[in-house]
Amino acid sequence: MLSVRARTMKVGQRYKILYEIAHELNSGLSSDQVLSTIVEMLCKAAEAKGCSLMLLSPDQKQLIHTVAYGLSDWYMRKGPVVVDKNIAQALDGKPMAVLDATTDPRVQYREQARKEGIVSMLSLPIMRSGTVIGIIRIYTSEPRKFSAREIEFFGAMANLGAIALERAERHESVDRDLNQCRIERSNLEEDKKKFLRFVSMAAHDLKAPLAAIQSFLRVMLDGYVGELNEKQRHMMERSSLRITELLKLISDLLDIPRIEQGQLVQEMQDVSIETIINNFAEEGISLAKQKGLTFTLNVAPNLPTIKGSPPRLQQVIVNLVNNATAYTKEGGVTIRAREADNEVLVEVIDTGCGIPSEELPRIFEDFFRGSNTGARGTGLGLPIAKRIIEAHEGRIWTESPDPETGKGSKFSFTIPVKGRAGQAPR
Amino acid sequence: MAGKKILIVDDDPDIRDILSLVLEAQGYQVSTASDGLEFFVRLGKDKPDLLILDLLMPKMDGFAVYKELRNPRWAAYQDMPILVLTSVREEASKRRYELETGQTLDVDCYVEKPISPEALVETARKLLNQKT
Repeated sequence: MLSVRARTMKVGQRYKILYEIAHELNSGLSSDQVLSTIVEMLCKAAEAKGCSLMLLSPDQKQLIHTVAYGLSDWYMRKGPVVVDKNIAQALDGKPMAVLDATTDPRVQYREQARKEGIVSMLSLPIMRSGTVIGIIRIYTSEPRKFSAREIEFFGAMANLGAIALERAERHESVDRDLNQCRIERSNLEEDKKKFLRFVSMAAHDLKAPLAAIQSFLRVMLDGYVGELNEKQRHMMERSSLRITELLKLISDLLDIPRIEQGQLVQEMQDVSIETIINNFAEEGISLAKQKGLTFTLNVAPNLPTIKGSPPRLQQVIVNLVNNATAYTKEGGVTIRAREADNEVLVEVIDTGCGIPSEELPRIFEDFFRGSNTGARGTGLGLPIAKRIIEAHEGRIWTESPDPETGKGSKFSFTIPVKGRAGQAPR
Repeated sequence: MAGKKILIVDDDPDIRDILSLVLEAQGYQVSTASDGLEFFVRLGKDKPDLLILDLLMPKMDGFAVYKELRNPRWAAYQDMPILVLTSVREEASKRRYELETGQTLDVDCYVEKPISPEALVETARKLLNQKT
């Protein structure tokens, strides 16, 4: 009969150990580190020779040593523990204590235990979400009887470890998912870049021959290769017009991916809307004059600067004024700009035929052409304007008839005032 | 004005023909090259008063030509005006050059294709006058 050493652990000591283990497990460890910490802390708390943690194999038939503390590599390599009825008892949630591992028939590796210097063993189940995932074993080098209190305490420590393990695994799985998302996102961005390059190449290859044809036509129309008769001139002019449309369509098609790729943001600088509108004044006046319309500028003084891309904002204004003049037979076009609620508000107002109310919601759709089509457009002017304004974190909308005059249409857009963009309503 | 030499660099033979036709009609002496490498061979022989440069070309493109011309070894051509004639948008070209070289593409004139003979003649006249 072995002489059994009894041990008692003071309540204060237990609290101290539990506090330490909780603190240790709470410090953002990886799941491997959590497992090692559990066995080390348990071994020290039990003042035992060693401690190991065995996890159930996926087929639930074996227990595999995963981490150990205080045991030799040789002992660890002794082989898996087969789940027999004795092990099943521990796995059933009941701790199993063995007083002499070298003789107890329930022990599968008695000889190895003797060589390793193991005498007593305590197996505790580790639970996760109500299921046993493995066992923790405490080994002593002298015969030891574990009291019910001790067993309960070590069991609580094992469960604490299981919770920490679960949390660490969840963290790792979230990290993996995040990483996967990042990879997928960068793949997507790479694909988008490739596509953009493809579109640019294709557009250039379309533009080059069209530019050559257009140049030939202009040279002929300018009389460089002899006089043209009326019919020849007329047809060449019409051909030239169609090619201009085609070139405009290509350039619009190219704009869309450029804006969506965020290239606008790179072009952004401090700009004054007033300067942009004034730069356009001459062109606007001549556009209106051609159709016998008036052109009015009404820009409030001292407008705050905004963050924007000057050529793109110019493009929006050109687009809106072109539309306004195309749909207006008499009266005129007005550009108005003022500051309102931390935004600069720009309005392009015409006295034209207006937009049928059923078409208003679709006016910014790609390739949408209204029934009142006054001029042949690409159907991309307004959608591009919308993309440009939205890239500036602004809004664009239309009202027809203009609520102030009761006729024509009014297109409005806003750009947040620089430095206050963060607080601008979106 | 007549007798001034213009060197055209463009990989598109149609564009070279159109430019030659229009500019020769004004009395200029026109020579052509189809890429940057050919251009530098011609440059020393032709000693042009104006360079009309396409940007996207095989072998050596217009960006590389512009960059190489900044090299002191071409100091003799420092004052030769450059007219870029391309189907690439001006802001796109400038951004690309800045991104690739960290320097600014600062040409005397930037014209987007297609060619308007009237505007071309006017621009060429202006650039050649600046020099004298």
